[in-house]
Amino acid sequence: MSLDPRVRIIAFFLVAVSVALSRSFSAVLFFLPYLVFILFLERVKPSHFKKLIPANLFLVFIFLTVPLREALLIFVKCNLILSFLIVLVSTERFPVLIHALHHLKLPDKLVHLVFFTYRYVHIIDEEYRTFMKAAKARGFHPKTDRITYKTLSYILANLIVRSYEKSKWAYKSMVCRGFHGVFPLYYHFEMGFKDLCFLGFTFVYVGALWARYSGLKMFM
Amino acid sequence: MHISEGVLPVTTLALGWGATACGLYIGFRKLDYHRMPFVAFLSAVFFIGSFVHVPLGPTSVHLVLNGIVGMLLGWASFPAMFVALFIQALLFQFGGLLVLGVNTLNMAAPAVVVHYLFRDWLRSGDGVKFVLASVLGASGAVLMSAVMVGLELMSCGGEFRNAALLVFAAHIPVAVVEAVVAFFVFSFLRKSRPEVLKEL
Repeated sequence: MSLDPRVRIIAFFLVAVSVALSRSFSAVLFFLPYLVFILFLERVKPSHFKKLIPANLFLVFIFLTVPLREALLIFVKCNLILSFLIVLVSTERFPVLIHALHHLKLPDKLVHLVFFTYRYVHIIDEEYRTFMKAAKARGFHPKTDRITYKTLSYILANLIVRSYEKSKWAYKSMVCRGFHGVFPLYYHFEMGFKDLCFLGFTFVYVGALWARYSGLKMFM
Repeated sequence: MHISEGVLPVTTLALGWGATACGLYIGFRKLDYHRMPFVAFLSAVFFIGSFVHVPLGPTSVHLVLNGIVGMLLGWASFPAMFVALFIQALLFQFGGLLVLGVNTLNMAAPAVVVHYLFRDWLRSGDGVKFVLASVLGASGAVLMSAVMVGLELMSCGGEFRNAALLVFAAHIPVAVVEAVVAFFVFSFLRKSRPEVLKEL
């Protein structure tokens, strides 16, 4: 089912904040049925959940040093919030999300910077791969020595130089096309009946949790 | 090092968002549209930098770059790093959206500090000052970030003290690598494109 991206973002924040605020297992596990419900609605591919593995690396530090019960709670909370992020937000195409952020009244400059950066990440990534390929073709083999550090640093410095030059061209070409701080939009979202139903359901679900743990008591 | 979702208490998350909001406000007010493509490009470099693995003995560390990119950006570090971390959180689930405020603050606040501390030395013709600026700026920013992560973990309670110490210790080799890389990067920029440093 395709939901309005704005509804997805709002629903994510409602649920994620509630999970982050919870201090007990029962409050956190209350959201598991909701996750299953969205999984059922959205039919997310299991391969999307592979992204959870690197996110858990930080938790190794926590598991090594913090009492087990506390660490387990953090583990469950972290993975639950990230699962919601995956099923509700990350499944949407990125340009559509940026568009949705614009409609959620985020400042224009912020939305533009997200848009530019998303575009340029791909350019810089491509440049980086090209530089690395060129270095490998010349027999570059990373080790802990002066030449490795120098090579990697010069590649990085070259990325900065390219950024500097390309940014000048990018701005000039924007001005040439009459840019004055606004990107015109030709496509608009429409919130349908099913979006409102979903949003209402989310509000009721989160509200039920808050009522059950009698407001602020669950944060103590 | 990004702090994961669900670790920090609400007050710390809220304070992080508050401080980051202030930084973003100042950063965007100082950021004109003619400089925006450059900030976006450096934000992309910062993003890709965390995928550059530098070998160190039997293992490897990945670059943080908040000092190197931060010294070039100044207050624009807040918008640049916020956006890079935001995209990383959405695409790769590194960090997360609720801890984005805290994580941005950890990266960008040291960046602003080293920018104003070492900007003049980095532009000066004096070779010793230049080397000191690049080495101290890059490693200082990483270590400051590590201290901030540690303090935030301590805010969860006393049992997180060891976690905080462990995180700080893990950043020391990163700071050393970052200092060496910064020295080479800024020497290259000074030799081949001095105008990048002139515009600081």
